[in-house]
Amino acid sequence: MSKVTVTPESLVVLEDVVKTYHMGEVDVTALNHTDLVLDRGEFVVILGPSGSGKTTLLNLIGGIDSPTAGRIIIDGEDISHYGQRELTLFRRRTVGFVFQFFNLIPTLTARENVDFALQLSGRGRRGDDRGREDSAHLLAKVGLSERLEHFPSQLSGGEQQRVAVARALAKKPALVLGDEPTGNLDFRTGTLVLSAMREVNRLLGTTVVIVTHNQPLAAAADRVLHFREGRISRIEVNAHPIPPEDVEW
Amino acid sequence: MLLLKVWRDVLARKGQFAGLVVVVGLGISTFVAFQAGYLDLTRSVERANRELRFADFSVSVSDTAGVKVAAVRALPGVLAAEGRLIQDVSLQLGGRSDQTALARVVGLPNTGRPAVNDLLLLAGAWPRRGGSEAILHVKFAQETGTRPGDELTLGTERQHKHVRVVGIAASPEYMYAVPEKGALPSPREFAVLFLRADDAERLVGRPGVITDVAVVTEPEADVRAVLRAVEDELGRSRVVASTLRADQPSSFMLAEEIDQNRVMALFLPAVILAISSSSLFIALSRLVTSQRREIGLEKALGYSHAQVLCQYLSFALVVAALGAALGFVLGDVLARLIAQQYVDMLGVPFLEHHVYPEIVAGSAAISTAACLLAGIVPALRSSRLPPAQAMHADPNAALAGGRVPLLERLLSPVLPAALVVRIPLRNLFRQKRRSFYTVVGVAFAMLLAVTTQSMFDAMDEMLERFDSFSERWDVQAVFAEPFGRSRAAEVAHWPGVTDVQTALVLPAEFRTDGGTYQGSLTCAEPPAGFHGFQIVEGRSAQEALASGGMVITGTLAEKLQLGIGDVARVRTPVRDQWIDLPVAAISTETLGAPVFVNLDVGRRLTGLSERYNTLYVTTAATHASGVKDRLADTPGALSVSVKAELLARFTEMMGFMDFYQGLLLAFGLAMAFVVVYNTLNANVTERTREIGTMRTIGEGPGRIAWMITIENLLLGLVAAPLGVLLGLRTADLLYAQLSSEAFTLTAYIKPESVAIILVGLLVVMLLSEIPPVLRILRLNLAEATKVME
Repeated sequence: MSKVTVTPESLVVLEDVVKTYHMGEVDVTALNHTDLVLDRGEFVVILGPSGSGKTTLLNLIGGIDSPTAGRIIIDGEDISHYGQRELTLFRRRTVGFVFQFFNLIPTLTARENVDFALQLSGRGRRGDDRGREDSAHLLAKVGLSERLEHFPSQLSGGEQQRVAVARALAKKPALVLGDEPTGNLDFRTGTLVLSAMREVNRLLGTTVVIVTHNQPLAAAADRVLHFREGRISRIEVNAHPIPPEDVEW
Repeated sequence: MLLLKVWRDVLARKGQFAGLVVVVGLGISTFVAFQAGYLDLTRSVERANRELRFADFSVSVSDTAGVKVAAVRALPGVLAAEGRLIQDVSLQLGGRSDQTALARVVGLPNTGRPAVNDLLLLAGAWPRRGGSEAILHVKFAQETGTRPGDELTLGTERQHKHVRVVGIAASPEYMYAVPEKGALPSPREFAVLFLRADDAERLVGRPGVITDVAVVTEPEADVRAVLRAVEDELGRSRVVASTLRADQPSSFMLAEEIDQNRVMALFLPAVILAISSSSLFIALSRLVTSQRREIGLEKALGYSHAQVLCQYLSFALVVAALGAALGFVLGDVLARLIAQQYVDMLGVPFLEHHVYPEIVAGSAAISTAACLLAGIVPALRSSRLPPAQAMHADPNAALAGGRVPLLERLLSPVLPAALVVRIPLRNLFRQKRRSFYTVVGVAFAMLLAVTTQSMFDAMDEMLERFDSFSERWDVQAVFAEPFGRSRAAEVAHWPGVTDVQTALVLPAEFRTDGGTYQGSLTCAEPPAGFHGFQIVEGRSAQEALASGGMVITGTLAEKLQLGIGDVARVRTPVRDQWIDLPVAAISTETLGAPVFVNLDVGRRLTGLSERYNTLYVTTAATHASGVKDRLADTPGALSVSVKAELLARFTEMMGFMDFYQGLLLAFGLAMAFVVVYNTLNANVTERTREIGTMRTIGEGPGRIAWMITIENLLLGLVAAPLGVLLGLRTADLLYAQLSSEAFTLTAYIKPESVAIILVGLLVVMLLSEIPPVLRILRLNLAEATKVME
């Protein structure tokens, strides 16, 4: 019987999820019988030491890895047994990613990086004016309206990460996942990125999940999941999360 | 420790490393195969010449009375001499007049084996004196399936006589079985029969006659001086022609083949090694680029420039060592195959296959040099990287100048806006040097394929030209004795005959201050309509012949250092009289180096009037065979050839070249595969995070593969025309080296051949995508998106 309570507001549901990696002759359990529900519109921060399973969880709910056992249901879809093709479509439709190293396509300008995601989602596929306007609008939202035609190599780390946020949002995903999105940024630019993600969360109701080592970020989250040895060791709920710009580290 | 890292780098890039070893190995194997094949062939011919005591020269004599061969043997510098009767007759296979060939009867000593131009008996036995027994040359025997015990019918002076074949043998004089210099080899139409002297004389009705004295000189003797002494001994007025070994038809043609082999042995390895080297250069450049951080770390830890340099050069040297080993083993196998093919094709009776220390050393040296040459620039680049800069991302990873490439801006109005099209285009400009080397590598592979194919197309074109332009007749008949106009008039009334032309074709010797040449002289009424002339200098053929001058080929003009208006001294065996003839026109001939003059000149040279020995008959296609039969039955007919059959047999004989064509095309395509595979593999490796990111945000592997394909096709689009142009240019240079008196090739490739090569390249490029695309499919996205680039 399921240990989790699923409501119409539940976007991410994990039921008794196990993920084991075969490392040579040793099996390493990265996620150990984990149950979890994340609601729509939540801003969640996952904390934990290295090897605690937090990135594994992010990979699983982002559809870039599959569980060894258990079920993962995202927006009503059970993705646990999806093949490569179904997972690709799932990621295309449902998830936006923000990576630690920004991972922009170096041969595309800021606007084109966002266009790329738009074209993937089927909007702006032919690079029409509407698509281009959407990209410009998204980049304006993250404060980059002056940097539309710049290539990643011409942007600072913070700017690149904000382009990555705009790219993640271009598909209007239900879920945005950030893997150490501020890990490669200084305090000021990290705050800007965090603010952008929080704003998207508030304005669009997008569920945002951020994995980080950076403890102070937890203060800005609605919920904080603490991971330890492949399990959720503790869950904190912030009744009054502070604005990201007030977070200090 | 750095060497351990080299080893790990090798293991980490097994596919790429194996590809490089294969490319270098292929390059070395070509070097070994062609060089050793060339040396094997040369040694095989030398052995045949030595063991069978091939004559250093032979002297044709006209007045045979009192030829003192014993006196020739006694001359200083003469090691051995043989006097022989040599006469051409016609031959009917199985007694059927529709299967005729030119048969050359060669006398053997009445007992024992000849001291000069010995035979290598391959089957059967030596003939007995007085038994009408003959040894048949192996080429004709193979072509016609004649075996010891079979009977042959020879036509001589209105009589048919029979000889029984008792043995099959190879001869140093007829390894390249042609009756005269420059003739199309057609083994089915040329038989050589060796009979005991008495039998030979009886067969042709010339008792006690010697027409040829063949001489082997002492090893240290001055061959020309000995020749002069022999001519003096025989009596200069009696000497019709003297032929040094180099001018002997078989020896000459063989030397041409061997020389072509030598050119190919230099050219092909050079091209393939250039491709190997460029491929290795690309791979090492990429290794350095992908390991910038590691290089930075090594230098930050205190490793010196020299140590880092050695590390990357070691990688190149490992490739060189394994490539040389692989290349040598493969090359040795191929060398044997090549030598065997040539020996079989040319009728060389021995096969000498050796491992040549100089080639082993050469392969090691070339492999090392090619790899070091390829490795030195990237290795130097790696050693010179400042640690701090090295540990940062490669600035080349982005587009230079942060600008959309000019080409894309220009094409923007017509380019699809979909980024799946634009990303591959930009990737080409992202690392221009990389794209450049890939284009060069693929173009080189194309060059190899085009040059190879061009050789075959040019040969086809040459034959086509021979058929439709140069030789404007269907059946050619050569008669033993000259005839008058009445014979032509008679043939003209035969059914199916539309035209008959006549000529007097004679062996002739040409002398100028620039050199001497022994070949054929065709005397005909202007404009010699049975032959198509492509005049490149001087008057038209009609005017040139009418003026009493010669029409000669460009290669011969060059050999004899003749220009328009220059004079050559000419003599034929028919009459001991030299006459001066001016050059009136220079033509381009595809096969051979025929010289044309008008009949008046022929009469002056021979003393004959209104006499011809060759008929050129034009017939309706369906009547060619019938006309050939009737001509063969005509008294005195020596040989009758149908042009279409000649060409078909020549083409069939050239079938052995398919082996080379296949081999070289396979090499070209293998090269293209490895170059493109290495490029794509490195592309995917270098862009792991980028591709991983695309896939993570929802791009399907199929579309990523499509982007790779577009990038590939764009590279191919640039490389292909470049390769075709370079290939044709290279073919031109190659043919300039290969062309000789025997034939002239012009670079040519059929459009359909280009299309096939392009399709082959496309297939190779698509096949080479498979491993990188499989890697994309198997990419661990979680890891790929975290890779630090």
